[in-house]
This record gives sequence, C-alpha cells and structure tokens, in this order.
Amino acid sequence: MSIAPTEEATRILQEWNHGDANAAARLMPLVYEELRRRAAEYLRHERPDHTLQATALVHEAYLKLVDQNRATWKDRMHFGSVAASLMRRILVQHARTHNAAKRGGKLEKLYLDETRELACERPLELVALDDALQSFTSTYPREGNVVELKFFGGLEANEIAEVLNVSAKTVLRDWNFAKLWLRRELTPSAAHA
Amino acid sequence: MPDQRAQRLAELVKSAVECEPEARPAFLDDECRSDPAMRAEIESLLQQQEGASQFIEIPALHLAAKSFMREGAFCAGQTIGDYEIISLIGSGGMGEVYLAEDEQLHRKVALKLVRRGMDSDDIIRHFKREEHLLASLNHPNIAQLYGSGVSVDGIPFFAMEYVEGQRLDEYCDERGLGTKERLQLFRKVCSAVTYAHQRLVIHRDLKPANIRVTAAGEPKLLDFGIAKLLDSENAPSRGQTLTLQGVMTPEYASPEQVRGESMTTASDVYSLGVVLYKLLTGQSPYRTKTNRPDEIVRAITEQEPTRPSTAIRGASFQLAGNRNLESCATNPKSLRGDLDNIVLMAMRKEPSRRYSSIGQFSADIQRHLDGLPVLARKDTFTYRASKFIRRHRVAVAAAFLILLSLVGGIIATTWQAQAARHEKAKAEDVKNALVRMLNYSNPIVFSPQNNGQKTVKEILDETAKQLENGEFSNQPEIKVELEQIIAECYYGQGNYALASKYTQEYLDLHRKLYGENDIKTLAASARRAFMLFSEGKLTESEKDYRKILPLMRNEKQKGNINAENLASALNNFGYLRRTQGDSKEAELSFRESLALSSQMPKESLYIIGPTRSTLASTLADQGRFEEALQTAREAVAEYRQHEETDTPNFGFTLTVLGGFLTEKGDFAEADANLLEAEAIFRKLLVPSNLWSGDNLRNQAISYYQQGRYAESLSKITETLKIYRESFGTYYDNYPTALIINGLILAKTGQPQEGETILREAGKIRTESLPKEHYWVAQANSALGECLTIEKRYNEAEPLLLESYETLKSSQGASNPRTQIALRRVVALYENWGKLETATKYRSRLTSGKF
Repeated sequence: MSIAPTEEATRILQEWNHGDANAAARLMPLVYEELRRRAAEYLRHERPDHTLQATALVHEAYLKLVDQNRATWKDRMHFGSVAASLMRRILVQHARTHNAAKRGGKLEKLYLDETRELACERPLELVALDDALQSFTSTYPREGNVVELKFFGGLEANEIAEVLNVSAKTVLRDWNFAKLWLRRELTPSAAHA
Repeated sequence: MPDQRAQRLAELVKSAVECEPEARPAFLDDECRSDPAMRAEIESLLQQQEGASQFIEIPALHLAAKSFMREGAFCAGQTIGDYEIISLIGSGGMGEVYLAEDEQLHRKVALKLVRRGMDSDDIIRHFKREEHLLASLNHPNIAQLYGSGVSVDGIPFFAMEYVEGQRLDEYCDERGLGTKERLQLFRKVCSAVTYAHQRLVIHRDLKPANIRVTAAGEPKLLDFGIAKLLDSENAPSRGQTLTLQGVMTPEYASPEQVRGESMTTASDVYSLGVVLYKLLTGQSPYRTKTNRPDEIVRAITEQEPTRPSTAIRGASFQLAGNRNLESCATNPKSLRGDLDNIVLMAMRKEPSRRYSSIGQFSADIQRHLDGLPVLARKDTFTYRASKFIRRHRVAVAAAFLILLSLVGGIIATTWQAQAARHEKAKAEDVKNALVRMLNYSNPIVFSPQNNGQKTVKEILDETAKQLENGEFSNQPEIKVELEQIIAECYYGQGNYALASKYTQEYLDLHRKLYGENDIKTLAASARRAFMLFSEGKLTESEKDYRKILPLMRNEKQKGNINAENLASALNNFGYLRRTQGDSKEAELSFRESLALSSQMPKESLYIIGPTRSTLASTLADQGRFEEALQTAREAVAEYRQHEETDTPNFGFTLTVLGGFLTEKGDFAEADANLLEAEAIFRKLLVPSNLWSGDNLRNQAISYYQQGRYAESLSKITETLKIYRESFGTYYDNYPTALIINGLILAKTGQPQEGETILREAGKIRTESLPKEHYWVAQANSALGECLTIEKRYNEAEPLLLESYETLKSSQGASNPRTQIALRRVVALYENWGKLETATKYRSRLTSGKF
C-alpha cells in the first residue's frame, strides 16, 4: 500500500526532528511537486495587485502535506528551509524557460521589475541573480543561505534565525552584507577589483 | 580572495553598515590602516547602499508573478475585432487591459481581455446574456460598456470607455483634499452606484483602483458588473474555504463574498464602506500579520474594524513621511462620532444590519455634512461582544502565544499563532503555564538572581499600555484575558493599586461579555473582592464575599467550579475576616477550605496557600495558643512529608511556626525556623515580597525578646520598608511591626520617638478593629510600657490595666500575650514604687522567665 503524501511528509519531519541527517533530501521531492504545481498556478493566475507572497504558497503546501495534529513549529521551520531552496529552483527554472522562449523574439528578457516606482533602480534579472547567489554562497555559505530563505522562501528574519540556529541580529547583518555584495555583482558596470 | 580575508571583509562591511554614516570613515581608518585594498573593497560594497533599500526585499515569487503579468499577449498594431491595440495599460485579475482604438468610431477604448484559461463557452454565453444590461448603464460617473466579443483565437473581451484618470485614493491624497471634499467626491460615487443598483446591476468589485477621477474632478466607475460575468467558475462554493484565486480583491470584499455566499446590493454597501474608510484614514480596516488568504478571510469575517478615528491616529506616524497626510487632513477628532459610526455601519458583518441602500448611506453622509443628526449609531457593545465570543475563542489563544513568546523570548512566528488555532486545548495549557509562570509563588520569574522581574515588569507595562491605547478594544475577549494576566502579575509584584484597577476592568468586561451569572464572572468577582481586600477596602471586600461565597458553594455543588476555586476564595475570605478581627469566622473559613483539599490535585495545593498555618494564627487569636502551636507544627510537618520544602509556601509555614515559638519563649528553635524560611525566601522571592517582610518581623520580635535590640531594630526597619512598599499600612502585621519598632526605641533611650510610633500603631488598630480586640489591647499595652519608661505612671496605669484585662478575657490568663501585658503591669508598679500592688500582680505570672 502506498503511503499518502501527508503521512510521508509528516513522518520525515519527525525523523528530521530526531536528528536524521537525510531527512531534508527525502522531503524534497514531495515538497517540490506540491510547490511546483502551486507556483505555476500562482504565476499563471495571480493578479499583481493581490499581494500574496511566497510564504502563502509555502504555507498552503505545508498545510496540504503535513498532518497539523502532529506537527510542531520546528517542523514548519524545517519545511520552510526546504521549500525555500525548492522555490528558488522552480522560479529560476521558470525564468530560464521563459527567457529561452523569448530569445530572438519581440519580447524582452524576463526582468523582475519590483521597483517601477523607484525610477533610478534597475530591474532585476532572476537568472543572473541566481548565478550571483551561487558564487556568493561558495564563499559565504551562511549568508547565501539567508538570502535563499528570505528572498526565495519568504521566511522572516526570526524564522531564518531559527532555521540557521543563529541570532536574528546575525541574520540581519548577513542580509545587509549579502544585499550589497549581490547588488554590486549585478551592476553592469561592475568595475570593482 | 583567501577565505580568511573574505570573512574579515564580511565582518567589516557588516559592522560598517551598522555604524552611523559619520562614524564610518573613522571606523574604516581604524580597521584598514595598513590594508588599502581591503578598504577599497569595503567602500565599493558600501557604495551599493545608495538606492539599495528595495533590492531583493520583495520575495522572488511575488516579483516573478508581477513580472510575468506585465507581459501582454498582444502587441501594438495587432487588431482584435474592430480594435487596434495601442499599448498594454494594465493587467488585473481577469486578464489584460489594453488601450486600443475603435477603428470605425475613431475613439479610444479600454479593451479588457479575459485571461486564458477562462475562455470557456460558458463565459461567452454568460457575456452575451449580460452584455445588453451592462451596456444600458448610461451615467456620467460610470465608464460606458461599448460592447464585447471574442477574438479570433477565442479570447473573450470587452470594450469600454477609456478613462484617463487617477485612482480615487491617489487623487485625493495628491491634491490634498480635506475630509469634506473627500466626502463630496465619495457621494458622487454613491450616486453612480445607486443608479446601477436601480437597474439591478451590482458592481461586486468596488475598490479605489476601479474608481478613477478625471482631470475635471469627475469620478468614473470602471468594470461595473464585470465581476459577475467572470464569477461562474471562480466563486468558491458555499462554505468552502477561500483559496488563492477565490476573491477579486480581498481587502474590499464583504464577509458574504469571501464566504462564497450570494451577493446583493448590500455587498456593494460594504465595499464602499471600506473605500470610504481608506479615503478617510489611509489605513486598512483590518490588521493582519501576513497577507495569507486565510488570515485575510478571517479578518474580514471575524475582526471588528478599528474605529476610523483610532486608525488615523495610529496612522499619522507612518504616513506623515511619504504621504501628504496633513492635507489629507483627516483630523481624528473630525472622524470621531458620526463619521466613525457611518463608516462602521456600512461595514457591518451582517448585510441586513448595514445601510439598506447606497442612497441611505450617501444621505447619511450628507446629513453629517449639514450638521444634522445621522442614522448611524455606534454598534452596541453587547451585540458585538456576543458575536465576538462565538467567533474568537482561538484568537484569544493565539494572543497568549504571542504574550508567551514575549516572556520566554521565544520567537512568535505567525506559524505559532496558526498552530494555536488548530490546537485550542494546547493554547489553554500555554495560558495556564503563562499565568503560573508570572504568579508570585513561582520562583523562576521572581527569583532575584535571574533578573526575571525586570523583564516581566517591562512586558507588563507594555501590555498595559497597549490596553490603555485601546489596542484590544475591538477584541474584548482577548482584552479580558490580558487584563486578568496583567492584574495577577501586578499583584504578584506587589503593585496592588494597579492590580485592583485591572481587576475591576476585567470584572466589568466579564459582566458585559458573559453576563452577571456566568461562573467566569463569578470567579472574576471573587478576585475583585480579594483585590479590594489587598487595597485595604475591607468593608467593601467583605460585602462582596458575602454575596459571592454562597453562589460559589452552589456552583461547586453543581460541579461547575472545582474545589481549588472555592478553597481559594474561602482562604482569602478567612484572611479578610481575621484582618477585621473576627478570627472565629476566619477559622471556620479556613477549616472549610482545608476540608476541600482532599478533592484537589496535589499540584493545586500551591494555589490555596498554606492554609493550615493561617488556621493556626486564627486559633492563636482566640487564645488557643497550644492548639495553634500544634497546628503550626503540623503544617510544617505536612510540607516536609510531601517534600514540598522548596516552595515559598513552606517558608511561610516556617515563619508562622517561628512566631509562635518566639511567643512561647523557645528562641533557639524559633530562630532556626525563621532563618530556614529566610533562606527559602531569598532564593525564591523578590526581597520586597510580603512574606519576606513577615519573616523579618518575626525575627525582629524574637531578637527583641532576647534583648538583642540592635539586630531587632535593623530587622524591623527592613520589615516596615517592605510593608510600606508592598501592601501599605493597612496590612494587619504592619502595626505589630510598628509596636516592635516603638518598643525598641523606648528601651534604647528614645522613648519620645518610641511613643509617637506606638501611638500610630494604636491609632491604626482602633480605626479598623473593635475596641475589645486583643490587637488593640496589645498596642495599648505596649504604649503603657513606653509611658512607664517615660515615668508617666498615671497615664500608663489605665492603659496597662485595661489591656491586660482585655487580653486575659480574650486570650486566657496563661496565654503568652496576656503574660507579656501582665509583666508590664508588674513593671509599672515596681518602677512607681507601689511594691505591694506589684507583688499582687507578680503572683499571677506563670513563669518567671522575664
């Protein structure tokens, strides 16, 4: 008899809590499928003025996959950290496909244009950001993790602190640093040494 | 860059970011003196701060969604039906909107294309059915529907009047319109909606984005009735929880809409109410911690909106910087009263309790503008409260989690709050844990070593301030629970005035929420009675108890309240009666309470406190000294037997026993008990705890009787300080402490100072007690001793004789207290030179110890 995803995910989280180092890896495929489906749906239908965020998606997936009666808030943290890295994969993959489809076409590359109001800000290109983040993470693993959890996972600073087992202050410091580093990396006239 | 160097770079940048900008050059000078390359690197990163505030702050998913939406399916020059696309002007819930030109009529139109995935035959049929109805809406404030059609690739579209204008809210803010102008503009919107309603068209998606204002200042409503056309497949079915795609614009959606129930003109009344709310306050009516749909739905269906006048006050901070708030000019005062009521009436949860029409809503606004009385009334408290209770049991629990997180330093994630909803029972436990944690008898929080007290106090004051600011005024059930916690915490900290204040408030709220006869109200009344006692309002407290106790016994009989509740009230009533001088009734009360202890779980014993010890005191009051001593010994033995010796309660039983042993003259044993108690209190209680005071007082008495006046004086000074700071001068042990203080002064060469203090003690005693009470006699006797020292024998004699007689008759001739008074009589006559009389009295002394 096959096990229901809910049963499965809940059990993996419990094992994670009991120190199973491979739990994250086993949780991934389950969460990935759920998130991918939801993200695609979201990207297809969601209205821009409806300020729904990654957290909501992750949250819905969590509710779907994990038996709430047996879950602890620690489970939610573990889940959130897995979801963040998956969300990154999903979104970047989506952007790559999208960009490839448009290449040579009449449409521009996919920019994450969050700052239309701030005229001086340049739009953000998701694939480039992902590349930059990869290179950043190789030197600064924890700081890179913070970015993944916050930017892709939508986790709050205190949640990130919990996942990474550091103080919220450290998270904030890491975040500030990462922002500067990544932004410089993405600056076209990157003339730094 | 080598790893170490990279790490140093990161650390320096992080610290530099935290530096004040002015301090930064000095910081970098210091850190990179010999490393210009590092410095250049740091500065190149810091340069990025300029304009970086928004960089990657918005989560990727949201950005991606926004970004994907920006791309239209059509490009300039393409034609759809008779329309040539000019540009993409927006994308919304239903799809994309293009500016296009009608090639035949040569006019600009807004072309709305329904998003792919919705282009079913069903919708198209639906379109055709409604089209002529919508097209018949012909009003200067409604954007005209010109027609609809289906593109060659099967995408349905509408062509509508193209409105060049600004969103209603932005228009008002940008022009700095005042309240009156905003209301007038809003009334024009109302008239357009009324017009449509009369033609049986409901808008269903009213929001500022759908209300544009032209350069001429005319509002135009967009998308009238469109929502319904798209509704067929999208609306959540009745009772189904809302999912991501459920509602057009959640913020403005009515409760019936988010629940997927049928919509009427009343739904438009609601949405316009929210629009007006935002126009007047710049705020959303509901507070949610996240934008999660379930939370938004919950807010819409359950939360009472913050009153606009309150919301605007909170808003002026945040908005002053980036919006033209002064000119938006909504003065909180101008909102209070009518406008608050008007907005909130439009926004009531139940459609039938809103304005019956937009016309009525608009007319009420006009009445307000004309200074006439308005229809809208403040929603009655009890109505809202009763609704609230049904809906909010879980939110209360969530509030506790948040409070708990403040206490324990645990992070309050929205997740925890969410978990609380699922696990109400668990949240109840949390609540209990919290109360226990903050309870004065719990050592963790109030131990002097962990500095816990400060944190708790800060939390308390902060929470209290929030309540003062009306934070929870729309959520009475949360408020009532918080007030209880706060009251108990203040009580635990010895701040009886504030404890009493909050107890009164939560009792009042209980009455409103649950009614006079509910057991929760009863419990609150009992607590209030106790707080009155703590505050020194003895008669009021007694009156309340006499009313409450029979009701509680009754409820206990019926099994509605447990033994602990009743026992606790009985104990407190016992303390009260003893303070009032009726130790007989106090004894009965304590005995009734003790009889209940067999029905309690062991861990509840701390709630009711060391009843047996206080019973011992009331026995001693009645002159049953040996019985009292025996009972006090039993109390100590009981705690030792149950290994409950690491508790403040045990310290208290030791203190009581030590007091009796002192009176008996067994100083060594007395002191041993008192010092053991002191060690416990030092470990478990804050120094200012009342019980520590009692302990020091008993030590002072013991030292005094042993003639160790200096030690006694230092202990009693400390005692009085604690009493004054915590309970105040009406604490029943306060005069006893004064008496010791006065006597020491009298015996150490300061009889005048001693006399003043003794007279103060006597005054307090005679004010609160019947004349024949032995506490009055003890005070008078002590004063007599002082006067004897002052050689004012004539004045001393009647005091000493009368008090001796009183003690003899109330306590018995051989009682240690009577014997002390007798010794003073003997001393008087000896000093006076009336040796015969002295001998006569001396023969009555039972032991010649002093």
